[in-house]
Amino acid sequence: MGTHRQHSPLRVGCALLLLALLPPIVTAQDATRDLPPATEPGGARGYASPPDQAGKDAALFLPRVLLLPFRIATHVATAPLRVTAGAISSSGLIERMGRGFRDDRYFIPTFFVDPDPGLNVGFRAGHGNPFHQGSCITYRAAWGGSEDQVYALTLRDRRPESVGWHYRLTAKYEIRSRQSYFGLGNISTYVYRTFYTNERYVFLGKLGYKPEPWMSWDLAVGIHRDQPSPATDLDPGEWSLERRFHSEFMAPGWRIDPQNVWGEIALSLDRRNHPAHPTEGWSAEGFCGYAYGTGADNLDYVRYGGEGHAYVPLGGSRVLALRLAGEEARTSENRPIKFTELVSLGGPSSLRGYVEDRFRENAAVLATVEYRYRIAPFAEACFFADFGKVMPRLLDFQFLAVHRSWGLGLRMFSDDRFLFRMQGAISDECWALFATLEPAFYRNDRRDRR
Amino acid sequence: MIGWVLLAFALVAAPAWASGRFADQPPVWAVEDTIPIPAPEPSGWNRYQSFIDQYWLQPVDDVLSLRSHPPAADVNSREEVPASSWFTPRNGLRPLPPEVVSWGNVAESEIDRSVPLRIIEARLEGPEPFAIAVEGSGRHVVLEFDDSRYPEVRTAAIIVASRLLHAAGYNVLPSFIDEILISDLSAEPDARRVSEFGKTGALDPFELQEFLSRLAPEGAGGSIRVAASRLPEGRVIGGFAERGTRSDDANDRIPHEDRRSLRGLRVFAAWLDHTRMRTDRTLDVYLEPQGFLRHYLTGLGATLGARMTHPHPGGMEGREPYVDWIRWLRNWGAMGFGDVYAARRGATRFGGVGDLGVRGFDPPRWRPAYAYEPFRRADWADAFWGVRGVTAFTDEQIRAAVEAGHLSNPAATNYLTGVLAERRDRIGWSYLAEINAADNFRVVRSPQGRYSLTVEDLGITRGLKHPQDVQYVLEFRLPDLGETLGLQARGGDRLEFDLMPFLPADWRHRDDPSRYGVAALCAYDARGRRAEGETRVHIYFDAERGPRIIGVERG
Repeated sequence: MGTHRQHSPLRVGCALLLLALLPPIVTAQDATRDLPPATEPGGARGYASPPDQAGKDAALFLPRVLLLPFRIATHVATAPLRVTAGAISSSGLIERMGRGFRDDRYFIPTFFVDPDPGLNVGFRAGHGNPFHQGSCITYRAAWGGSEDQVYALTLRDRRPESVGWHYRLTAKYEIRSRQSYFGLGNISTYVYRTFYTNERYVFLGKLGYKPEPWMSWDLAVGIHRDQPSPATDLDPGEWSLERRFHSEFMAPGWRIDPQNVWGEIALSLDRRNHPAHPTEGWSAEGFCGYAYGTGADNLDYVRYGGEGHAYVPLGGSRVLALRLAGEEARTSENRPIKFTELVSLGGPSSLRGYVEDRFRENAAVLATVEYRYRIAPFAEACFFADFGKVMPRLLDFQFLAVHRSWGLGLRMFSDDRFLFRMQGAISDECWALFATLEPAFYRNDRRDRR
Repeated sequence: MIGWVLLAFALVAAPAWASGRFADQPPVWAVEDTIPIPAPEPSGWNRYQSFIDQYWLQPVDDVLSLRSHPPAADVNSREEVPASSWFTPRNGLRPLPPEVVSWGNVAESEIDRSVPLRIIEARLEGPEPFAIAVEGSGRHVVLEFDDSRYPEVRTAAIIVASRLLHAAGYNVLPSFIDEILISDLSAEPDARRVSEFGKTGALDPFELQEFLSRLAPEGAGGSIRVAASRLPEGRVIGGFAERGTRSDDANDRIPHEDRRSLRGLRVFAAWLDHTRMRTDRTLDVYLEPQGFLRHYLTGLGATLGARMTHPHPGGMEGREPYVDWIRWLRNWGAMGFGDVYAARRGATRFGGVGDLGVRGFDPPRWRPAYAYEPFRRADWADAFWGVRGVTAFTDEQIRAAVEAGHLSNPAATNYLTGVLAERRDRIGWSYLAEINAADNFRVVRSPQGRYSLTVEDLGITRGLKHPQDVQYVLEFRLPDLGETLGLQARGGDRLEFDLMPFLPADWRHRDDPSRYGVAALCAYDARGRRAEGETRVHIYFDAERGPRIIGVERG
């Protein structure tokens, strides 16, 4: 359908030889040679004899011939990109990706490779609810490594950011292999790393009320069940959870099929100046929840905590982003809580230089300092430092032996939404590179509870 | 490596754009590019292919093909843009009365509400939503809306920019402010929804109602303010490409990137802060029954800072190019210091005006968000043409255009008028301090019978320069004889060069080819720095009627 006389790859490929031998494709004089009202040569310009370019063309003849292979290579290399771009555009794929997660019609394919568990592919998608125009349905599926699978289905109202009542119903099932467990507390040695495969399902219902755009109350009720089992794809030298921890004393709950009903109330205040890339303001969340044990494990516990973010403008596009979070889970009789329910640190959203769920305990404190500055209209570079520690009780916190990790990376965003981030971090144990669609201040271990 | 060496050689060896020889004929003031043609096919535009072409393929191909940018092609022998389906000189020829500027090209300034408006296409998302509706008279009208948080900002910007561009000579849709009731709008059963990125689908009536209800302010009784633009009678076939010509339009013979009307638009775009000029903000309409294409500028809702209403120290929507690899790397290394991106101040406190100001506005270094090829190719001659067009607007004309935006707060009207006037002046003195501003050439005969070439400096004419701050040096060339006859320097109030010393005694016969002379003018500022560009005035020495100007080249 395109009818513009552009440099299409095919045409350019055929005409390149001529281009090298001839003067530039169109000169001002060629272009005006036959404009109707000016009958004399030169067209509207009125030239009797246009400027002589023969000398210049002669001087450029040899360089043009010598550069011809580079031109051909450029067009050949670009042609597949242009064709792909055309196809992608026709399918609306990038458009749906660009809308992000907060809209009601999107499709975001995900594809990345990491050392553990390897190749990951998947998608996130959404569309309107055909039975109720005010809500939408979203899907998420991902497959990685040899066993990893995630499937999620959500029904929610369309405008969760607007004032008023909101709801969300989520069903999620996932199998994640090679989950790490190092034992409880801070002192576990990295070489004691063990692996297990976790099978989990979650049903979560959430009812929220936003009296103001910056304030929301959320009541969440959920059922979730974690079924750890020995990892099946261990390499020589690696240990499974079962082999390392014969008793449940050091890995509480892994044999007894932990499951519970979770109820939580949370208050969120958001005084940031922008939801996607805030540069000033603050946000805070406080929550308190109760887990009612079901099935073989009838352990009840309460879990409470809070998290605050502050954004300090430093002039220009520079921002200092700060985070402080604390969380604690307690039982009435100090009985051990199953390890999959414990508060954890480590991974792309907490202590970024450590592997996911590196430290687990009943309580944890996390602090982050992140220096961000704009390098492009849609990208920020950042340098960050994460500090954190787990402990039996929040009151036991001491500044000694706090875990630290440092890193740098890029954050990409559109004008109204966060897109993704690529970051690398290092700690005294290991380094990690990750690309993720979630912002850094969006903790993984809280995600399925809210 | 070889390529770079050759490139360097070629750039050094390439001579400056040579001078031509003009025919002895009056200048062309209207181009007949309205010959009836068969209706062209709607043109597709792909933003991703365009992105690849703009930022990779075409710049690299330009370098490797050693292709220089020729001067603008849609000009006549006076370096002026003749009237065409692209541009019609209006305010540049003679000052338009302010009421004409205010009225623009609007024939009827009300939507025909004799029957409810039926929406046939709408974009309900993104920062620039719109709906195309069918009026009672059967005509199509584009309705553009304000962000409910920033009332009047976008609609006023559309009208003000539209009036000013129309007065300058560009084709714009006839636009006006009107108020409509939400209840007057309904979607046709087969209405299309266009997404922010151009994907189409069925329009969901629920979404439409939800969108409209968000627009209506409380207490307004369901009434919303819109900028309404009527589409001309004919077929819309998409935007015009920023490069090349349409192969199915016999009237389209000048590559768009070589059109002065588009290259010079860069200066107007800087004035109006039209940062997002691109193919999707233009429109080709096949006029029926005339049977030719007319080329319009549309999508003016991002002008005058209307896309930058939300204050932010750094957002995607800005005044910087989206893609600038070198700058990205430099910014990364600078750790946030030095060359930071401009802060977005947000809408003014008066309401009704977006983030438009004067502070930090540096016109020659103003850059649009997208790499628009005609802007990229704009040379000093194109800039001069644009500067003359912008500085031709008087304060009264600007006020008239702003008042057409129907801003409810008089302070906002005053603010916008003042800012536009100040930006206009800043464009004038910043550009004209750097480029050769010789203009309005005439050959005059003194009572004593001596002929002289008089020149006006545009900066002095517009009151932006002091006469003592500029000096012109004239060099007279006889191209047929290959001779340069002499130099004259003039400054101050009176820029008049005596031609008599250049008149050879043997120029007597009408057929003598040596009667052709070129007066080359260079400008210098008070500190002796040469301004960019050389203006060449081609003079034909008629033995009977004396010398006369037959062409002007800015090169």
